[in-house]
Amino acid sequence: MENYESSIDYPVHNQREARTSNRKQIISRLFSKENLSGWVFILPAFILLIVFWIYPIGYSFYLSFLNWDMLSPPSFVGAEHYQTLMNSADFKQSLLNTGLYTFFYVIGVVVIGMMLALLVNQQLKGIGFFRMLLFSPHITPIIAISIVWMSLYDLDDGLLNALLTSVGLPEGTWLASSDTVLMSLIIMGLWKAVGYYMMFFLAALQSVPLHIYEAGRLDGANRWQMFWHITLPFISPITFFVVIVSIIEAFQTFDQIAVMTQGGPSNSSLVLVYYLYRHAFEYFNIGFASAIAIVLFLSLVVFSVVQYFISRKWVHH
Amino acid sequence: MFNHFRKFIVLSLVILLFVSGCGPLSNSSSESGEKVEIEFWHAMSGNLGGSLEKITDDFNKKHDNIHVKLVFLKDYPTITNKLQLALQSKDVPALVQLEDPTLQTFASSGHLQSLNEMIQKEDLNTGDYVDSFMKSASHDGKFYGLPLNRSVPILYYNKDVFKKAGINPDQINSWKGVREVSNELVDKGAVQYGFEPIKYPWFFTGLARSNGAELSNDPEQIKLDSPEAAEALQLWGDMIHKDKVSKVHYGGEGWAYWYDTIADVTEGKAAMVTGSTADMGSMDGEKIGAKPMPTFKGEELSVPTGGTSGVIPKNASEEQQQAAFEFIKYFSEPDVTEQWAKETGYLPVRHSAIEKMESFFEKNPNFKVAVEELKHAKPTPLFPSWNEIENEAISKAFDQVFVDNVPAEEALKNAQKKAEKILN
Repeated sequence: MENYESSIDYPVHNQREARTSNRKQIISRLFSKENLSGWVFILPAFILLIVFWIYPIGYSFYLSFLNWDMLSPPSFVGAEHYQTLMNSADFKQSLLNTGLYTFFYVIGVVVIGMMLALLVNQQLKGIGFFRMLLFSPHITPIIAISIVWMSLYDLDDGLLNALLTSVGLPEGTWLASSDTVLMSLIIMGLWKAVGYYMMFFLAALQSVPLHIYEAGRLDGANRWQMFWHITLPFISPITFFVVIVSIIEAFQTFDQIAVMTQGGPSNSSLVLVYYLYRHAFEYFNIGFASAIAIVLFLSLVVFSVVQYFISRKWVHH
Repeated sequence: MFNHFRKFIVLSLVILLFVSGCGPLSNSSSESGEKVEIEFWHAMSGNLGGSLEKITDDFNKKHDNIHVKLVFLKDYPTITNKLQLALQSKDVPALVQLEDPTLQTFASSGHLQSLNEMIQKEDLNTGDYVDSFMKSASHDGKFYGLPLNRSVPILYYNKDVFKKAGINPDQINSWKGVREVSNELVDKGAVQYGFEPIKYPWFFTGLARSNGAELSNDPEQIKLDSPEAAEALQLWGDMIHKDKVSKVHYGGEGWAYWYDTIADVTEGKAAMVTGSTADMGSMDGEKIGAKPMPTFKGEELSVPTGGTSGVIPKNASEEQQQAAFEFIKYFSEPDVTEQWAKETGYLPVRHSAIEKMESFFEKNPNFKVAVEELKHAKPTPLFPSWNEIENEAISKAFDQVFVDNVPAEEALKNAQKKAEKILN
């Protein structure tokens, strides 16, 4: 139909007419009776999206240009908060900490999660029990986990140090040193998360068609080659999903920091969200905290977009 | 189809109406003659909370027209957050417990009711109140609160440890003595740690003053990095890293690190800790002794006051304000503040109460030490950003010295820079 129209030479005024009638048609079609019900169906989701997502982001953006302590009337300061952020050593530190945390967290989640999935993908008796066991940290509240791990990490009578000394290794400093606190938090975070991501990998592994492995075997591929050339490409969409989701999750790390370290010692476990929280709810710097939120949001957007384009090279759909 | 659409709209409108009708219920203010119900937001847990409940019950029984409802919030920062939000929604409690720096913040932004008028009308004798407590509850020459739970820092020691090692507790009146005794005790294997400081920035004010450093009340003149303050902080750092007879607890939620430190001395793992007088209520006076904060050679004792005052938000209705004032006035009546002090270890806030308690002090020497110290008490610096300076600048300096073994001089220089940035 469209091809027809474009191939015919209309006079100029006719073309304009055709366009307006086209537009009218689109509009009337958009609001036709059948489409109206469609609108109604997406309306609830749309309202939720606007109320809880688009509006708050816009409002935060607006707040980030104000100086406001929630008590006195706000004053407009322009981009001052962003400038302060750029010159702030604490912000740089929190950015670095968040980056390090995210980097090791995501790598850990993908590598360990995948290895665990391969492990529990065996047809063994009672394998379901092990799957459940590995998954269970995910459903335990993070606050409870944090409290348990704090006692594991305790310097004087923690279980970890007791284990280390019993086999003749030097004691770790864990949460009690700027050098090791972030690593200790990552270890705990991974312990909680890998079981959850394992389930995704497990589902992906089980969806790989068996006949392709058979074909591979006929071609004389060894196990490693089969993993590298069949399994990995097949589960790459899930891997991509896991990378994105775990990046977002790592960026939003907060609860365990609030419970275990409050960003210390000397800011060495200060992450972006905790930095934001501190300024918003301890010092009432709402404008400044909003600027941090916007930076956090933009970096997540950039990460996701970059990931999306890189993923075209390695994700096979 | 269109009929369905209309139904949908009507339905959503009904839901919206319903939801908007479910706003937060405010303090039900009442018609004249009926009961005035007010909320009191506090953070007193454990035996402190129990004691507060008792006093509130008594108050409610004695006042037919007022009912005070206690609302427990986790800790002081939580109270601050919630109050901030409440002020936004204009739906405020009538009575809140605030620490000195936060009181300054809220008073300076005009959200608190000045109590001068009510104090005058009720003919309350402010001269009977401990001066430093009233000073810390005032801003720009006006009173914004009455003292509720007030404390000063204090040094606790484990009596058994000292007795077994044959050490005279009088040796720990000076920091030099604390250090020597700590080394001796650890060398003998009597304890794992000689002395443990609490990593709470409030103690910095006390420590700096114990070496003669003064922290100004004027934000323009604030000086955290004086040589006296650095020397004092370095002593704590040296005891941790050089002598290895000391350690700090940190991390954990709320006051966890505080109670971990106190537990070390009650369990005999450490010989001495710095604490607050309010820790006394949970200690066995037979086993744990108290000493005033030690000083450096030749310096006079000077300690900062801690704890909170009861304040009344301006947005509360007049009769609620009156009821709230009635309660804080009651709380500081000589008998009540005496009862509160005996049960918790917080300080009696009125001179007439202190005089009455002489015989109690004779039997409980730890309490006597605390009240004696009151003569040397002065508020922490009083200006709105002090809270942020404590949490951001001083807390970080503590971390650097205690954990990362940074020289105190350098750590405090950083803290000073940070403080200046915050104040700008």
